[in-house]
Amino acid sequence: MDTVVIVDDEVHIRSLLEQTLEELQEERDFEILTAANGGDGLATIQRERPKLVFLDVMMPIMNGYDVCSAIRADATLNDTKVVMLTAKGQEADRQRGLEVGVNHFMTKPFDPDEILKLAATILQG
Amino acid sequence: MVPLHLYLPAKRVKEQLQAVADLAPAELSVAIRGQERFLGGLGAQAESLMADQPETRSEPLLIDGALAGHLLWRAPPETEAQVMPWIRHLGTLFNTMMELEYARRAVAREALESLREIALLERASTLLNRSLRPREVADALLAELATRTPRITWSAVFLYDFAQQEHTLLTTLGTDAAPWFQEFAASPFFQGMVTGEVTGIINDIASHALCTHADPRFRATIALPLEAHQERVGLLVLAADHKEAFTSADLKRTTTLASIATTALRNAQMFVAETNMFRAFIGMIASAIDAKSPYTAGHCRRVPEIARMLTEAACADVNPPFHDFHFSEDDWETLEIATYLHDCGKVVTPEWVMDKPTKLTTNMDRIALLELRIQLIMFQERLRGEGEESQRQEFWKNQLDFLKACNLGNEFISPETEARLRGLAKITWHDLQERPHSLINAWEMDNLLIRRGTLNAEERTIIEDHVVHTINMLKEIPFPPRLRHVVDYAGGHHECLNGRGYPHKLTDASLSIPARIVAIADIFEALTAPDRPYRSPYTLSKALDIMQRMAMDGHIDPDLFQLFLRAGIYRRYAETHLKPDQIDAVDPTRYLAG
Repeated sequence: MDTVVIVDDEVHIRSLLEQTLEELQEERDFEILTAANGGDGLATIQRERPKLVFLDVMMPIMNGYDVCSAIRADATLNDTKVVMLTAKGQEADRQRGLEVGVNHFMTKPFDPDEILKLAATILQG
Repeated sequence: MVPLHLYLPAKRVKEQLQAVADLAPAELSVAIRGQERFLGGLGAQAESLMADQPETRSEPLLIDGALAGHLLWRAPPETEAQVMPWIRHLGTLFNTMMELEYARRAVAREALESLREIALLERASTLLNRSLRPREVADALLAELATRTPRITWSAVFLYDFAQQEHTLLTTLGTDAAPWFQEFAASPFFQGMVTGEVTGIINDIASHALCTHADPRFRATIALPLEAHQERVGLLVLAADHKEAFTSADLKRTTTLASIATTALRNAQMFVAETNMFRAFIGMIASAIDAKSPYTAGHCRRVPEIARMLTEAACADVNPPFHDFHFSEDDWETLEIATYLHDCGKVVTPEWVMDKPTKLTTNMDRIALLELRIQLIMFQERLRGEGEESQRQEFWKNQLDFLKACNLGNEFISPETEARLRGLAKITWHDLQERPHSLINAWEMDNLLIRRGTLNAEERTIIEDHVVHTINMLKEIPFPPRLRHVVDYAGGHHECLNGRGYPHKLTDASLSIPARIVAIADIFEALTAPDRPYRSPYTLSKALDIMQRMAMDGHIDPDLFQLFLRAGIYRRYAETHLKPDQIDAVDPTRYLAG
């Protein structure tokens, strides 16, 4: 079964993303795992090798860029797609995100329909 | 039935069941069943509980009071009483878990709905405020609605015309509605939409009281009056070709989008009104310039027409050098304003210089003064008893005819003519104090000696200055960025590719294509104008001959001149604007290169 990992230190963002993805679970089977900081997130990702990761930028222990760099440095995670969640007005983060190998960006507050469309595409591929 | 597995995650079920198994005093088999699906169990026979055997006991699992599944269990009859509290505990536990999960999801769903609306608002406000053209705003609205609600088969935006007090169709999207649209617009049902009597979702049009004609393409509708600050802006109509097509979520989304579109449409309408006012001012200035001189009447209104035709031809041309030439709506607006105003500097040019018909014209033709002086000289000669009367009359008649011919400026002044003029200037008349004065004063002599045309150097400067005035006047207008090229297009119409034009002696390196187009339009209109005081109107072929020479010596753009001929613009223009006797046979191959 495919796995999706949500890494964000804010519980309401985790919860809303989870809830959004649950709409997709009504159509297809996949597991949703969450982590509240970069360190736990990376450990979960390395253990579960998810197809898709939603990654916040500013987090305790390890920030999103470092988590993504670590993912890209791990050959077993070649198929893991990373969606970075950036804050509005912080579009400059995107350049740095691209440099560390982020595949997509979503601006908070995110559009649930866009998340669903993106997740469906990635999980299908 | 509510999908139990979504509210009772398998992992949690397993954890709780395990905890109970560890604590329960006796052996028991438990299974969780939701929608005939096995969600987890305890004991070796757990899965066999799924088949409803008589000895299987069950507890209902409820979500928000509705049955969502069962907790199935079995225990040896002797231990049943012992395990009962544990089963009840599990039932309560799972029901509580589901209740919490149900509540969590309800709150989250509401939050997601809000997020969706924020996202829609954000997307739509950018999308719908991108343009200040009502049609583009309406098209963007319909496109966005079509993406979000695929059940829409036809949609339309009507704009309320305040002056006419009626709704006119602005734009539509979807299946071709032309065949039934006329009928629809005249129907009581549509009138109901206009008055607000028919509004919101009508999911079965045929059964509506106002429906007089049921069309198979028009079975369900959403109608929304567009209003801003209690003022009617327009009407939005969505249609579907099957009944029950629209939901309240569709209406909510449509209302959100329509509210943003209404503001955008209102702004666009105001912008259009301001633009129309600005255009009317431009038209007024063009008319004022044209009215100033009867000879150039219509020039400012005809040049835009020629320039537009030539620009259209350049846009349509797929060959170099015009294959990359494109014109946006803003560019068209720029060209229109520039061509209407290209001669606006002429408001400050004295009309006697603008149309100077003879060399001695100031604000009057001073030839009349010469004639008076001749009469005076003849009178004075007669008084002095000089010469014979008939010879005198004959002599002066010849001199006057000669002076009148020199005054016209049709021919070059030869050295012989100049000598004769200077000879005449020696003849004097005497004022009351008996002081002698020359028949031709210094100013008059300078003008009569003008070698070509009627303008002296000073007057030529005044004429050429009209472009400087045009440029300066246009620079006073704070054109918005989309119209920033007006000055460039209008101010370059007397510049030449070879750098010999005025006022800035620009060259082909800095003259834009539209500026060159305006130059050609200006010249062609001037050459073919039906009436000029200083010459008779040219025929079409003569005008093209002159332009051909101008193209060859780098006065006008030869590629544009070729296009002007190739696209037959001269002919189309001549048919509507020239007198029949000006339109002679033209052989365009004579001018076409290659």
